[in-house]
Parts: sequence; structure tokens; C-alpha cells
Amino acid sequence: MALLTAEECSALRLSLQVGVCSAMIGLPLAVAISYLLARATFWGKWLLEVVIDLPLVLPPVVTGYLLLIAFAPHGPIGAFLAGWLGIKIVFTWLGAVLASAVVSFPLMVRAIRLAFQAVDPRLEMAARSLGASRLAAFFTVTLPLARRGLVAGWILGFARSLGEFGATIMVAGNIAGKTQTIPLAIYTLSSRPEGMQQAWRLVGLSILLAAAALAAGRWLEMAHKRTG
Amino acid sequence: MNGRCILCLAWPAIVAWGFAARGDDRTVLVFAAASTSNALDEIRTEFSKTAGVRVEASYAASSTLARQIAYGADADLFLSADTAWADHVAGKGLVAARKDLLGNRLVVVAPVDSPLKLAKAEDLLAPAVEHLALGDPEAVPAGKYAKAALTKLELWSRLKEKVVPAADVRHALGYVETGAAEAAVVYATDAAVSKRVRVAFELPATLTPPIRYPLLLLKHGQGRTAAESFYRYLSSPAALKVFQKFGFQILTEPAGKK
Repeated sequence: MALLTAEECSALRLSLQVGVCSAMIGLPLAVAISYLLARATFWGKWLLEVVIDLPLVLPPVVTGYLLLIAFAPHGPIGAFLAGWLGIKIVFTWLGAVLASAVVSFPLMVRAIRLAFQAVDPRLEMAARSLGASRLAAFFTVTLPLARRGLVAGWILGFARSLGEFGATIMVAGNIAGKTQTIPLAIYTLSSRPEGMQQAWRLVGLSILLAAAALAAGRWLEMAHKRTG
Repeated sequence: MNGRCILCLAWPAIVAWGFAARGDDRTVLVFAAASTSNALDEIRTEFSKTAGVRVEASYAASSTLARQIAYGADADLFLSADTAWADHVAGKGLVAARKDLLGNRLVVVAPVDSPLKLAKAEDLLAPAVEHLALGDPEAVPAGKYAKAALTKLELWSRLKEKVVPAADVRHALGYVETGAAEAAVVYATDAAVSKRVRVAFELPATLTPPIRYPLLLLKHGQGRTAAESFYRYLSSPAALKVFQKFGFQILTEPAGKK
């Protein structure tokens, strides 16, 4: 513990907390959308694909700007959340979760969609011909077969959340101990003239976390190949 | 001649275009505190027209700019919002000349349609004020001044929890403009350029160390005609008139026309 200062610890804790929560929140929706995109054809599908991929190519500050406008206390969604549910998004760690979830969502969908596409639809049909409902076939056949893709998507979403900066600083601000994740802490330190020397521990920590997430992904991929 | 060949030939040209000539003697690069942006934009436009010199400006928190200069940014002039960051740059041996140019005042602002009754600093303790935006109080001058004032009023320890630190004073202003924060401490000059905030009250000058903007001629600009003439122009009557129009106090004697 002596390795890190109290602020660095809280930045690490927040980064992990935001990463896990945003990937958890994104997962069910990503599964639903991925399945839809992998299996169904419908009018306007390309439009849905564009909308989902947009945060991948938009500058994250643009995503953050739009989220800030929408979720500010007087914004269309923010007013509703604050008035009816008493939930505040802007300048809270939930804001960081929201920003990360939106930005990492397309990556999750990409990974999970590929996994669903790799599952032979005839297996699902076989299950249904044996009396399984559509939902039961999905949960007992397709989802288990695509589970590694789900985990890979989750890891990818989590890793992207760890790196989220632009949208987060717009929506959640940069409050030490509340919304200051590792990238934001590094940014704050680096804009202080004597801070560059202090930033290196967090820089190292970032590299370590990112490498660990990538290694976990690789390991799953190899395990997948071995079991077929 | 096939496509690949053309691409090979065009490649160096494209790269060269990317690195195309910058930083000749007809351009000046000014690093300036975010709070001076509106006034300085007007002044440098005017100067460019009359002197035929391009003046480029980079606006950010003085702490950010000081760090960039210390790390080798090619700035010619630095207009800092406090003396500490000017001293920091001077301590690295990067300053050729220096004068205190401007003064400023701190105010508390709220969104223009805010129903909150804010008349004195104690009112910021009200639960309805959930977020108080400041420049990062550990580095950004406006935030350091604000922290000094609130500490002197013995409110800092109780307000600390509400503080939303911003990258520079204009970001703090922006947080109030969007309604994301209920109040912010900014300079009087910042409040004056925004139609979407109102000044709730002023923080008396006695609460803070003097708010001074030193203008530095950096070693990089020393000996370059364009940089040195813009350094002089900034304390000319014409430039000072613009700063005054935007609400800055003038701390220097107007220099001669040239």
C-alpha cells in the first residue's frame, strides 16, 4: 500500500469500479443488440449499425458533450432522472460509468456479434424442433456456445473503460476521490508543472492493467482454440 | 507509370507538406491565461492588421502553459494569471524580460436563470449549491486565488466537498453556463463575457494575494523582431484600452506607440 498515495489508490479503485460497472451495464444490452444484428435482417439495420458504431469513431469529447447536454440537471434526460428518480449523473461516478459504457459499447457489440455469427443457426433450429421455445433455445444453446465471445466482449469493454478520458472529463468532471480515474489523475498531474515526476506510477499502473486485460483476452482465445 | 509508383513519388511531397514551414520571423506564438482570450484575440487581430505579423495564441490555465514552456514549447510570450507560474518559468532560465501588465478581481457567478439567493460567501454553504466550480485549486491561478479567499473566510474546509475542479477558469465558467454546477468562482472579466451567467457577488480583493498578470518575453522570442514588437505592443495605449474594455485593471504605464 505504501507504493501508492491515497489519491492514487482512489484513482485505481475508481477506474476498476467504473470499468466493471460500465461493462456490466453494457453487457445485457450488447448481447441483445448483437444477437439481433447477427441473426435478423430488417429495414433500417444499417442505420442501427451506424448509430451503434458512432461512439467508436466520434471524438470522445463529442460523445461527452452530447451526454453532458442531455444529462445536465436541466437537460432533457437529466431533469427526468433528478426529478423522478433522484439520480444525479453529472459530476458523479455514475457519469463516468455512463460515459465509459457509451464509448465502449460498440466494441462489446463487435466482439459479441462475431461470436453469435459463429454459432450455427441450425443448432438453434434443432433445439426449437425438439420443443424449446425461442428464448429457451437462445439461453440453452446459443448463449453457452458464444460464451467466450461474451467474455471477450466484456474484457474489451472493460479495457476501453479503463482508458476512457474525453467523454468522462466532460460528463463526470475531474474530482479527486469522486470521479478522478487513472487517466484523469495523470492528466491533472501532468498539467501541474511539478506533476510530471509524480505521474509515472499511475502511468505504470495503466500499462499493467491494459496488458493484463489484453493477456486475459488472448488466453481466452487460445483456450477457445484448444476446446474447439 | 502505375498507381503504386505515383503514390511512392507523392509520399515525400505529402510528408513535406505536413511539416511545411512554420515559425518564421513573421509569426509570434503567445501562451496566455485562458481568462485573457477575448481581449487578446481582439488585440492580436488588430496588431496583425497593422504590423503584418501573424500572432498565434494558445489559451489554457497558466499552470498548464508554464509546464508546456518548461518542457520546451516554442512560445515567444507568456501572459500568466499569477506570479507563481511566471516565477516557475523564470526559475528554468527561460525568461528574457518581464512586466506586470494586468490586474483582475474574483466574483461568484450563477446561471443567469438561477433562483438561488447568493449574496455573500456563506450562502455557498446552502445545500442547494451542490457543485462549486473552480479552476483546479492546486494549480490553476483562478482556483488558487479562490481557495485562498475561501480559506481566509474559514469556509474552505466546509466547501471543499462541493468543489468541482476545472482545467482552467473558462471551464469552470462553462460548468455554470450549462447548469452542471450551481456556482463558480471566476474572474470578473470572465463573468462579463458570458451572457448565460450572472454575478452573484464579488470576493473582496483583500481576501486574496494581489491578482496580477505578468507578461513575459521568453528566451525563444528574444531577438525576434515580431515577438519583441508584440511584447511592446501589449503595453501600448491601444492594447491597454482593449484590456480595460474587457474589465482588466492596468498595472503598467502605457508604453510609447512603437
